[in-house]
Amino acid sequence: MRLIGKEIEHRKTLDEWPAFINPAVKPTEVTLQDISSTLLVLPMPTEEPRSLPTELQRTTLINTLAFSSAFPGSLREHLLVPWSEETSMPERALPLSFLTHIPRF
Amino acid sequence: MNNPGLVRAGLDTFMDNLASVPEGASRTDDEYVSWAVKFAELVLTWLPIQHRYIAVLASLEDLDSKESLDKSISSSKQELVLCILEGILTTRESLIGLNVMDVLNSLIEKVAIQLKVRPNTKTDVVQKLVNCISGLAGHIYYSDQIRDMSAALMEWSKPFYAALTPISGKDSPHSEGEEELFEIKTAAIWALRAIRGVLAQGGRSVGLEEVWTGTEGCLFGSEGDLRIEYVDALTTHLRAEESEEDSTPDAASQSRFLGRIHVALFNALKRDDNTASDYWALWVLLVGLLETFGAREVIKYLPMMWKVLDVVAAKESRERRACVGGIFLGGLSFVADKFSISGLKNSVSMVTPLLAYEAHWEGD
Repeated sequence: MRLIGKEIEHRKTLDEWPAFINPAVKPTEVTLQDISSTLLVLPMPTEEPRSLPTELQRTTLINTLAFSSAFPGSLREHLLVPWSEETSMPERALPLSFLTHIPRF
Repeated sequence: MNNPGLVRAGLDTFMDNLASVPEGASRTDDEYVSWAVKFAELVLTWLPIQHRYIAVLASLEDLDSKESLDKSISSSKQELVLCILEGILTTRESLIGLNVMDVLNSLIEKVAIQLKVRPNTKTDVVQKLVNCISGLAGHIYYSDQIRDMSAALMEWSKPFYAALTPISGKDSPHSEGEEELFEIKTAAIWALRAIRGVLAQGGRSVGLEEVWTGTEGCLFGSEGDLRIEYVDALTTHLRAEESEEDSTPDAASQSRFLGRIHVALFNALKRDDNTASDYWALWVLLVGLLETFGAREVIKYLPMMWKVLDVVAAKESRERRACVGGIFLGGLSFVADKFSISGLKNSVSMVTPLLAYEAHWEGD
């Protein structure tokens, strides 16, 4: 395990940082132990990052999931709730019925 | 040979003889230890099944040196006996009759003493004790055994996690000196390895909330190696949950666990001193959560990531923003696959080069 940490740190010192997550890799193959190049693509940043396209921004993503038949309908409204540390802690969480102004799809 | 008293007397003599054989010129220590362990495992199979557990008790007693005042494992005889105990506990031979919790408590005590005294030894004694704990968890003799073992390990180790948990943004919550904090961190890491070993043997029988509540500071504290060990242990438990087929999981408990772990993830992702390995560990945990909980994780993961993206966009360097962006897109890719949303998959694939800053890939 320590060797993995060292390997990643070594790449960092070679200016191969940051780590980039390769979305083409099957999640079941993602482990702490395997940081081979097929799992971890390491770009060398040369420009300022651009903002995400519209289809990956929050409102569009919520709509995409809402219209996906595979995503459980009963859970969709949870995506509309702004996240905060306070509401995420179990002892401080409020039920959804406390929320108002939930937009309709 | 069906008399436990005789078995015990025979084992004591056997262990004494193994430990007293002088080193010969024609063999190395390692070879002898390896031979002794195999011999002891063979002798175990010759004993009546209901008396085999006595070999564990005899070994444990032999580990308590009568000469050493600090109770540590430091002599070569003790190290040999420990190797034999490790061999016995990691075999799949039945040890029915063993009081597992007494043995576990004894092993925990020995780990604690070893970490405190830190004697010079030829072998990694703490690693072997942790292997013994993992091996012990492979001998399951009652339904709540893994739960009890996890609870005992957590009772011992939670004070370490608490001591390492940042409070109000400070990384050193307590007034311990640097050396003492290092000792606490070392103990926490070994405890997590022991818990991982136990949960790997049967984590599906224990709830996530039950084990991990109160430990989340390990995820967002300043200690990177502790974070990696924590993710390793937690994902081991998650994968055990995942393989459970015939259970009725407590949805409320899982929801509370997810709430807590996402607060910890949020605090970890927004740290301004994260290294590449920190981000990698957090990504591995997120993948484990998505794999295990599917849609129930998505409704926690996406809102939390939107918040993180807002926070890092406001104040972090482009490298850190790229890492958080990479984790966000990686998660979206998972969601697209899981729920068969081909349009989303395409969008993620198209934006990938943007995230990489139209990259100059290493090796291209």
